[in-house]
Amino acid sequence: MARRGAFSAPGAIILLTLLLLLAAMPTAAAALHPDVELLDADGNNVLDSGGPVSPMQTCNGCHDTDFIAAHSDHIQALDRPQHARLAPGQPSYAADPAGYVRWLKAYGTMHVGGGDAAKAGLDLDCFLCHTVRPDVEARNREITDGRFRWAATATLSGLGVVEKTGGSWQWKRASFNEDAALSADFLGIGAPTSTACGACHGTVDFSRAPLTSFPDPSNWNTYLRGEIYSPQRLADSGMNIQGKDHLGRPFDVHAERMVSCSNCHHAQNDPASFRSAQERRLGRLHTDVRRPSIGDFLETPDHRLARGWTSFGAADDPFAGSMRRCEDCHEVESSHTWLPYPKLHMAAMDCESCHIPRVTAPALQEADWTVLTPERQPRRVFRGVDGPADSPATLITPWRPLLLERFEGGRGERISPFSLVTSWRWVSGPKGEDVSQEELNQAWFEGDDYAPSIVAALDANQDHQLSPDELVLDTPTKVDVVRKRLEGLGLKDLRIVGEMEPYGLHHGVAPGSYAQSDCQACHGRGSQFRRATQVASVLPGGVEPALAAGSGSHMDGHFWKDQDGRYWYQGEIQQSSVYVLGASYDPIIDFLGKWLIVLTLLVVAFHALLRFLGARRNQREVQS
Amino acid sequence: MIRRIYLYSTYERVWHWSQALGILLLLLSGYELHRPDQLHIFGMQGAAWLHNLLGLLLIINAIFSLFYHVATGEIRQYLRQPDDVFTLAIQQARYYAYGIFRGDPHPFDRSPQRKLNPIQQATYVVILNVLLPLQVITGSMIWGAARYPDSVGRLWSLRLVSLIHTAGAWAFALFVIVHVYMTTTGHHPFSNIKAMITGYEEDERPEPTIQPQAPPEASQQEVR
Amino acid sequence: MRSRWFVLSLGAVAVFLSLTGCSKERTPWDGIAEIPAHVDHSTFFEGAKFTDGPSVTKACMECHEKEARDFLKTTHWTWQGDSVRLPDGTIEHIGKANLINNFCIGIKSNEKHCTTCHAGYGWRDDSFDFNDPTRIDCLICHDNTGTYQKAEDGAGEVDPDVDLLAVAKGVGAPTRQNCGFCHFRGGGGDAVKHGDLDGSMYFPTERIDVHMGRYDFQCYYCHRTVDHDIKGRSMTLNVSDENRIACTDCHDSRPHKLQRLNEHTDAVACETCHIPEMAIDEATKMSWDWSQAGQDLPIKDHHVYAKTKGRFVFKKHVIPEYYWYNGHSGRYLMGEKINPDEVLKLDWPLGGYHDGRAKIWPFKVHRGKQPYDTVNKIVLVPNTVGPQGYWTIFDWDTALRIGSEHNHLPYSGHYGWISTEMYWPLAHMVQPKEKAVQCDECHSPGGRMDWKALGYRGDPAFEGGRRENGAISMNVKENPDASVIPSGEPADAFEDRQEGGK
Repeated sequence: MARRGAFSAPGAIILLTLLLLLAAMPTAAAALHPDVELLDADGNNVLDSGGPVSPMQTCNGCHDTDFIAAHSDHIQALDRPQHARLAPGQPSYAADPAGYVRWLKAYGTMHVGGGDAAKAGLDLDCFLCHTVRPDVEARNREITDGRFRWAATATLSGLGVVEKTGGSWQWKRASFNEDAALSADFLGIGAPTSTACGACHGTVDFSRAPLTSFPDPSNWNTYLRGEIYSPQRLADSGMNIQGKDHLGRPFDVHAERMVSCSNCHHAQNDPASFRSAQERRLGRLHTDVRRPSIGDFLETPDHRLARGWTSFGAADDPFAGSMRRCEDCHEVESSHTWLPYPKLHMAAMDCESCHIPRVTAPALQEADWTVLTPERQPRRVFRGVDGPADSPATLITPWRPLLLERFEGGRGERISPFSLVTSWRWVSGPKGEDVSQEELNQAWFEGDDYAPSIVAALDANQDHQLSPDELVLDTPTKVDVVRKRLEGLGLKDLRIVGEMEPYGLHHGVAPGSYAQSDCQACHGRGSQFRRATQVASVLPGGVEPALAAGSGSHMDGHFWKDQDGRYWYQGEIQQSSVYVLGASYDPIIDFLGKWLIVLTLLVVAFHALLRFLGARRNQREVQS
Repeated sequence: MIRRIYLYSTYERVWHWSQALGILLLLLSGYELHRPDQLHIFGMQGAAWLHNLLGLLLIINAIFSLFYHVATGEIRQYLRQPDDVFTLAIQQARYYAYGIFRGDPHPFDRSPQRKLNPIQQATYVVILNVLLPLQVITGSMIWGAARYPDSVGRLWSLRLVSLIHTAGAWAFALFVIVHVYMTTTGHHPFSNIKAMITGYEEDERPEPTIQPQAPPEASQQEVR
Repeated sequence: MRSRWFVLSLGAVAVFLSLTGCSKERTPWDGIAEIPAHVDHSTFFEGAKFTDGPSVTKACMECHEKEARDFLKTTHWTWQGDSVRLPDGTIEHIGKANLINNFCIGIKSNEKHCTTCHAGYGWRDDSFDFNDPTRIDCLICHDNTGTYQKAEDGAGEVDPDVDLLAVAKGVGAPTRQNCGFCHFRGGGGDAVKHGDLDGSMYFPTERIDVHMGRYDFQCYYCHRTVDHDIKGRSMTLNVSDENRIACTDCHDSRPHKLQRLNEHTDAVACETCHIPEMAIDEATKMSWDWSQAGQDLPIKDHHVYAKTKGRFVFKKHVIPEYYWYNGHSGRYLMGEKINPDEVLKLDWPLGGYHDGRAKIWPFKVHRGKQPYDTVNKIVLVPNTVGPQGYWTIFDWDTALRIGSEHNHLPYSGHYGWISTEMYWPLAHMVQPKEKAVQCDECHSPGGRMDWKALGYRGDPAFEGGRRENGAISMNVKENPDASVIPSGEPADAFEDRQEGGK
């Protein structure tokens, strides 16, 4: 006990220094970003005004928020007309008479704010991506309730700096420091984490809790493509995946190896990651070291994030192919020594073709907006499940992506895996304008119930209810009933159009040992290039869907309908530009070759027989 | 007295058999590449590797043999045409079409100076000068396109080349079948194969000038 | 003739190809001991009448005299292993016989209970003759009938109900059942002591352990045995690195296809990634508080409280703790002075961030609270078993007095409770690559590793490892760290303690 007090002087100094150093460390990290004073739209501290925080004002002190707002896909993507249709087949808001605010209430939760939305009060919300614990749900509530101005404030409520009492938001002064500011460490300011991206873009899960994911339109990539970004092993997940005991691979190998979304989808002028778009890269330079300074970048970070060859709109996108792709990080030839002709394979196909051999979550197969469910949603069918996709009891059968050729700018046409999503919708008029969601509602419903004429036409089992099975326009009579209802709204020249959209698969990458390495998967008569893929379980109104314009890919195989009414596509490698050994062949040459050989063998056998008989005869003649 | 004629030199025999082995393995590995779902011998990787290697050996073999044939003048076997070549060819065809059944004598007597009958001559000229180079060239193009996709450029040509290569392969398979069968049309069914192994053709027919009484059928009887 | 040459050369090519194609690579199976052919004993012992254990042993020794002599030298018999130099210069062999743990604490005065797991008959007290081979219990390890039992609290004697003749006829190589009888139940019950050895391994599935489950390993496949000396090292009872079994005895030291994983092997033991958790099926004891014993609490669950023993915490699916470990360890010896204000480590791994031979290992840390002498400042051994034992009369003073007499420890009559820790490195419940720890489990905020505590600047994935930061030489073998004790020398337990226990 006595020894405890006996600190030697040098020891005490060392200890003190150590303690000071330890104490200094967190502040050293925080020194990168100054404390943040939250400002309202007028530039006043929110603690003084009590108003909603305006990220555009708050961050403007150091970052050029106007520049950011003007250079951000997350704003412009939702302002651009070609992206107005939010989901396959979903009637666009341009045709929705209820107007933009109504649309924003419904779909603003998918919008980061700014642009057109800013005019309606939904400001660009920097906190959503750049703070550590954004309260997305609180923000969504504000948006659906139409209190757009408070959305960004609600985002911060996860940190406990603001609280909603009695219907209004109150800033909690106690959570702020003496300068009425918040420390950057507390806010957790930094580059967006993968989890932050996942809040809108799909299932991203870095927790160790058993992962579950059910299709949900707000979970965009997972909903359309079945992509999940998580280091968790399939076998350990909470998903009911067929044969999962033997699936010791993570949902995505990059997530397991701690690659975050922003590593590849970096800001266009991020000096750490910047590369010019593939097409404009100088062939003789691996890298261009002349880059913006970090200061320039932080002041005007270009929020048009690097991206690949999106299925749609890539043609007029100057940044298509600007992201880091597989081969920007991975050495291909030395790691594929087993593969004959690695160069040819890499020239002809994207890495994903083999490294996303199967998708282990359900993905949208059909969205049929010609009908409406009681929840005013389309009839949806999912790929990879046989049963309700939103039930944990439904068995998920890992499904093989559809391999298509897609034009990828300077890289030419390359084979890549896709999730094929088909949609149907009503259009009217000579220009084929979408029938709006509101008009659909009016046609299908009277109050909260289905219109009696529609029930009468569709109710196959005569129980005066429309079950999910009955909710499909599979006969001309049923189509006519709905058409008449729509014509009753003054719409003319009504028809159903169907569209197939191939969505490229790039996440959910399997590690090498789980990638496709069986040559015969492609090379052989059972090649996946020739495999039949179900397009639809039924053709509403008998309308065969067409490939969406601008997808960059083409489907040259043949479509057919089986006796159960399902609609299929089978790739036809014969028509394709590539020659796949084992899968490509000319039927005439093979036919001729095969039968000429048979014929020759027959002739030879006949000739030999005659020789034999002739020799016997000659022999007898000699003997006699 | 058995006539022994030295027909094929050691090099010619080695060339023939190595060529034969090469072509058979090329057909086999090629078929595995063409129909990997039907044939599993080398595996696709193995088949691709073997097919390339054999192709290379075939080219080397062809260059050597060209040198040999030119240097020794054996190339005349393929080029020199007798004046009555058409008559002889028709004779030969007639023999195959019915003479052979009656036990007619072979219309063509082989000698070291003339090893090939006119039909053989024509066939081999086509095989060696058309089909083989065609396969070698198309095969090299496929190999090159796979090796250097950038320099060969767009792949649409590869498709055509591949189809020609496939057709050539079928033709080769046909040739092999007919060729093997034709070897049995010698003085007795295996005499030609034996000749290609030992180099000597053993003609058990007695010299007709010495023993004109003995009918040629007797020798056939003995063979059986 | 010429064609024959052709055929011959073809044959030569074929032979060459088959030779090059079949060149045998070293497999992990090469490291597995060759199992000697078993001699069926069922026809032996005709007319023999076995009345007690030693009578069987005598019969065994008619053929296995040498084996019995060999066995007398092994730790399974002596319960003493490594030699350490005490402050007074004497050399002591430490082992179960004379060390203190934080489970049942100590053996002496409690022999008849503890020695139920001794491979001998009748170790009741110090008078036990360790030179008498007839006292060896051959059957506890070699019974293959599954009917052999030792008597409860019988100092290792045979349970009277056992049919000794049938057991003797059914002897064979030790199975997991034989080893598990003691090693799965150490500490007084299934799964108590080791987090990585428990009853789920009698008939393990692949989920429990890849070696024993997928490939049906018996213990001695890895614990290779020569002259009855079984390979293996218990860190809790020894201080040196001798006789250790390593994964690399069978597996390559850089076995992964991925280069990045192989780079880990410099600093990370195989076990660290391949034993992601312990106590997979059976909960293991994580703490034991003796100070709570003796109360009549309304707690029925013996995994929570026992009047005889105090309060416990049992846990399942436990994520190990991670420390540097160079194979050597420090040990608290009986009679050593302690600082009661600190948590006393009864054993602890040696090595650290700057020790090039040390690797990060997974540990079960068992935390206890046990009696010590508040005046003499030494850890005491209570007498628990017997008529005067604590488990009978629930009197600490009597128990500690009797225990101290037997252990030759001074006892002042004043006792208190000291918090202790024991470190158990994990080596079983090995998982295949599909279940091994993944990158992000350590290299992400809130992961398994406390990088700063291990000595790193931060996550080495971003801050660089020991080599990049100059903490260890680029060539470890040429520059062994000074703190490593050369094996074979008597280790100085007290010096170890000062280096490792800070």
